[in-house]
Amino acid sequence: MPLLLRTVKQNRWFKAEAKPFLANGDVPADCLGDMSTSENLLSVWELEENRSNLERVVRAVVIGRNNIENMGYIIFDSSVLAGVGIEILNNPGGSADSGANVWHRDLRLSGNKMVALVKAILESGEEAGQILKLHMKELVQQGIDQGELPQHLKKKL
Amino acid sequence: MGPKDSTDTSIPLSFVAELDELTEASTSIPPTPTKSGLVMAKIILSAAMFASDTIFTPRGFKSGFIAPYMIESSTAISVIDPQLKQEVRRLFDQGAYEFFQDGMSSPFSQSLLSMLALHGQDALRAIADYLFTGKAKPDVVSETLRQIADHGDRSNLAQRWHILERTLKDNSPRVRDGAILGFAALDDPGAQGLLLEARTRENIHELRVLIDQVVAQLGRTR
Repeated sequence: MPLLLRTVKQNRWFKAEAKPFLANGDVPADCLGDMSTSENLLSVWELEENRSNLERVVRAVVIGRNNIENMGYIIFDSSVLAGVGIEILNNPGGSADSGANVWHRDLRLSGNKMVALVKAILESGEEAGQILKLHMKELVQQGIDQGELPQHLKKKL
Repeated sequence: MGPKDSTDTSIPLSFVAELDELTEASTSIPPTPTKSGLVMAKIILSAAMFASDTIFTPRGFKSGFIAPYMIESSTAISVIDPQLKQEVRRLFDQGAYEFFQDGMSSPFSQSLLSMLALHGQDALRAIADYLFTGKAKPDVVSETLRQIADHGDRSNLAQRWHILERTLKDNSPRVRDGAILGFAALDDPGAQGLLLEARTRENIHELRVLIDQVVAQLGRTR
């Protein structure tokens, strides 16, 4: 099953910090803040099997933010979705990187399903990672140079 | 299990005094030591050594920058404007209600940067003073560390460095995360040793990985 990526603030997803919550069948409330939905849809990105598009999809999110900054993310197997009854939709993304938008997916959530998803990610997902700001700026510059990103993004660098 | 010396945020000497020393050390010619000054220097140097086993320095600063001639100036410690202190407290109280996201400007970070632009070193000292009261929320401290690392110049590099170095030993993983990212933003290879030392006492695996990333970045920096 393909891997999915969601951008988050890494320091809200430390596994060791979540352990006491999970032990009580619960989740840290702060994680839910990183799962903001629109029309009950949560934006995620599908990774290639070799993860070759990881940096590109994270970059696609960052370029839509105010500043090119470091960006955290979590990765989880899409197989967890079936376990909690979450539907995955092949909706293309709306980022300024049109080449990356094909990897975009939406997850249809309810409140209970969101909590169940966070729990599943904390239990069986990977540790949260992060791309540092300096590298992110290199990635954006590279994207502009290679024509993957629009020139106007230069002003954010 | 917490990081080594979990009470490290209770600093054995006035943090503002330390920052004053660093300010003057980085901007002025050392005065000739006086006898009373040397006594004070010994006391403060001992306290500084107690607080940190190893002293690392930003690139371009001489090794062991908490030197007696720098500490001499601590006899003339300036007082933080009470109004500024109050402003900082109010700002941090407001920040406690914000939800910070990577790459997004926040009212807190904008106000913080305005304050630093308007009051310069005084604001930095007032912010540092408040950070170490232990009253500030970890998320707000973390955001502050990233911002002060990212915005500033050479004249206050030593103070910003010192704040990051202290917070690298904080009890809260979120604060340590901010300090690590702060060192990444400074992008000074002089921080490698400090970060590797922090890695040995770090109990959050994600933060050890983050330190590795930052150390690798600094290794590429010339």
